[in-house]
Amino acid sequence: MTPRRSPALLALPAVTLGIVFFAWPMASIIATGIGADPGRIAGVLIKGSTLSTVWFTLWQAAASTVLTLLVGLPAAYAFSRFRFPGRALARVLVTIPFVLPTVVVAIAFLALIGPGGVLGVDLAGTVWAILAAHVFFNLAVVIRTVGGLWSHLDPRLEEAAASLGAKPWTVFRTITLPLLRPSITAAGAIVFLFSFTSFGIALLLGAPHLTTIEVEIYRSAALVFDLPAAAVLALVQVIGVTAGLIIYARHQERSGIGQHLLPAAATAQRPVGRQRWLVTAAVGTPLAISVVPIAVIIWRVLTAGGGIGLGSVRALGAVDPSVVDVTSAIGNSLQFAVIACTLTLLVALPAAVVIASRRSGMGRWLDTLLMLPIGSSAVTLGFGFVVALDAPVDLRAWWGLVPIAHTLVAMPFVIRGTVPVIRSIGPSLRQAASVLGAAPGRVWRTIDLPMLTPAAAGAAALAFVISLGEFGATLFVARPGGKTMTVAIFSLFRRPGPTNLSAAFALSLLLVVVTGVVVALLERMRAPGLGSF
Amino acid sequence: MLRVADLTVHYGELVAVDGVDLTLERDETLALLGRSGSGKTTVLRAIAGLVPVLSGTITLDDKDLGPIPPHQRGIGLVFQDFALFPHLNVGDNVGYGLRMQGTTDADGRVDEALAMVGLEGLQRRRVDQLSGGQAQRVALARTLAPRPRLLLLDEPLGSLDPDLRRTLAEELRALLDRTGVPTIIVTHDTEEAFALGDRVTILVEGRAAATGPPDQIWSEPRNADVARIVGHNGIVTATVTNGVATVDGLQIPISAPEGTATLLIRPGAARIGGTVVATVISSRYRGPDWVATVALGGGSVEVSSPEPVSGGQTITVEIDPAGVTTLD
Repeated sequence: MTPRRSPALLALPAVTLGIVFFAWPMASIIATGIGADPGRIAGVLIKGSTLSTVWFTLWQAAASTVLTLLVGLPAAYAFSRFRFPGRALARVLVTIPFVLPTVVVAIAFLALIGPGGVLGVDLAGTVWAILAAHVFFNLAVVIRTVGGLWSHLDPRLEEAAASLGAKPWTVFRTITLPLLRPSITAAGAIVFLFSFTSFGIALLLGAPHLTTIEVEIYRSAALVFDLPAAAVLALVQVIGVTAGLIIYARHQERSGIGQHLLPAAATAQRPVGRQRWLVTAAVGTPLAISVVPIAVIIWRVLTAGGGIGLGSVRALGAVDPSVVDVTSAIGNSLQFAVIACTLTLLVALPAAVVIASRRSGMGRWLDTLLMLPIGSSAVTLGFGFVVALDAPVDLRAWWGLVPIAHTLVAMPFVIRGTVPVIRSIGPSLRQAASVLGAAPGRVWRTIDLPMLTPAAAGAAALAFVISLGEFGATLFVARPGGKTMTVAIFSLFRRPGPTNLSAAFALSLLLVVVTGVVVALLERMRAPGLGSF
Repeated sequence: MLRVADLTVHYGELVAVDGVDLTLERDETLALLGRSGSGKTTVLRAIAGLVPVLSGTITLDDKDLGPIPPHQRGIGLVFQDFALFPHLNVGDNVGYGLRMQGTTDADGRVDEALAMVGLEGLQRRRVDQLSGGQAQRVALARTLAPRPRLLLLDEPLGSLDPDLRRTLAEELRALLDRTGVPTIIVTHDTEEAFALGDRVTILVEGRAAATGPPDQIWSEPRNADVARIVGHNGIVTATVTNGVATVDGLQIPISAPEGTATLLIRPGAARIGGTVVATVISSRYRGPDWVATVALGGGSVEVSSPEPVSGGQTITVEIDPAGVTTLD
């Protein structure tokens, strides 16, 4: 029997939002880019600085991906194949960076390896700082995506290979790796996309000659007001992102096909002998990478203005509100986050229900459409709003654009997380309920709803932190009085004076705490989808 | 050729295998029979080198296998769900072990192995397009292709349909006879163990409870556990005085020490007749007769009846002393 199809109408809000606030702005950018004087396009494209920006964007993204995989794969192995004390806590700790605002990540790395940094080396303005921050930020993607499949791989396949005479390394090369390849490629594609469209990190840790396309779009559009140049760059960006997404989508579909997957608990065991060292190293490295930068923020907050104390908190109050209004930034952030969170639930969940019930045709099409914003970079989105939303009604100064942008950014993550849960509610459960006498509405209330609730709560929490941390789009569309915490941190950091710096760290810590709590909650609820692609 | 002595395996706190001794001769098939959790699969995995052994020794052709890693043991293992590599086709699955050995004529040997299990020409088939029976045969071919010194089969027919099981059991027996590889088969199915094993070892809670040829294990099980595992129902408690066992008024001449004894009444030994009356617990039609389960000596025995009987009814029962064995 075919599963019951959910009415396509449920996806209407998501599709409307996607068309008005995503497809149209993107189309406008493309039109501006293509519509520009051909000489201008060529001029922007062959300009030495553009070429070197594109080249740098590409190779730093590739390098970030390789490094993240190098650190992440052993960790994925350790987390999925072994049970060890503190595993749950370690998982939370390596996941936090993924939801940290990029501005906070950048500031943490500046405090660690920037001028006067804790480690005593100044790598700011070098590619190393950018790569380190990208690895920090993306480790969870590899650990969760690859680990997710790895923990379900049947260990007997590897044992069968060993009993047929394959040495441990040969087993890994000929059995494990090919079986994991789809998830490794999918995770790699996502890390590449995130690094390719890196904004906050590249803006704060980069240098004029080390800048990403994303940063250049922002500079051209917001600082130099050269809209055609920004549009051409955005076009290049969109092409790169689309290519990445296609690779991702093709491999994501193939993951797990034809494999005999086991429940994760059946494959994990306690490490013995030499395995203990292996697990310690494999988990310890990403743990250190994840924890140290966060610890540095805490350290800087505690030691601001000399000795240990709460100087930073006082600094927050001491910032001149006419320069950066910290109080209103906190208020705005919370307000936007609540709106974005509600909007995401109302829009993305019904769409997820439709996608889950239709594996082909419209479901696939919808899935791809709503996944697009994930790669299309927040800055491009914000830029698109500015270009497109002046007619028929001029929305460009409307405060609501910020939470809408946040919703679009959060939607792919929420859909990724909830679709598998909805799909897991097999038709046999609903049939069992109806055979036991439940009417259709009752089936939905007693079976679907309780099973969906954790996923929905997880989705809401995720949308909340994504909104709190969003930077690129907000920087573009926030009105002067409508700045958020991430924008405030950026402004504070850009201004001289120890008070501003302390306040930036204090705000960052606030975001770290909120993010950490949410990630711990999500992990406790076993909400799927966090960093898993 | 294979000697397992005092094998003990723990999984954390759990004692999976507790001092098991086994021997296997050339051209012999040994069936390890036991319920789930009896440690039979663990014994197999220990011999293959896939679980750490706490104590005891495993020697193959007088060579201690302890320090040898699984990939150098030359022991073939067929897993319960076959564990075919999903990313390789049938030919590459079967050729995997040959490539590990660096065999020069791998393709020829793959053809040979597939022909042996009756699957010629399936080399390029994807493994997820095989039926259950085909998958089982591919798994056998993959394991036999590198010509292992010893073959281990973990529930080789366990995941197949009952019909298919019977056919494949016969095929498997013929294949094992033809190849002459010494084999250990793990199963929870008594019929399968008796059909495939030259000898049967029964495992109960990690210990070897009995070993012997199938007919001997069946007719003279050592204790009640073994008797139940090989499918006996008629286990009753009796009082023995002067070489006569008394069960609910029935007198059975027997050679057993004085006092309380546990007796096995083998199928067919209890029948309708005599003067002692017993209560029917339940009955079922077996065709052509009915089988009545009758309460006796704290247990029950099965009695054949030419006519339908129903629970609660009483019938007369007598017992043929030749069909009675004393259990430990």
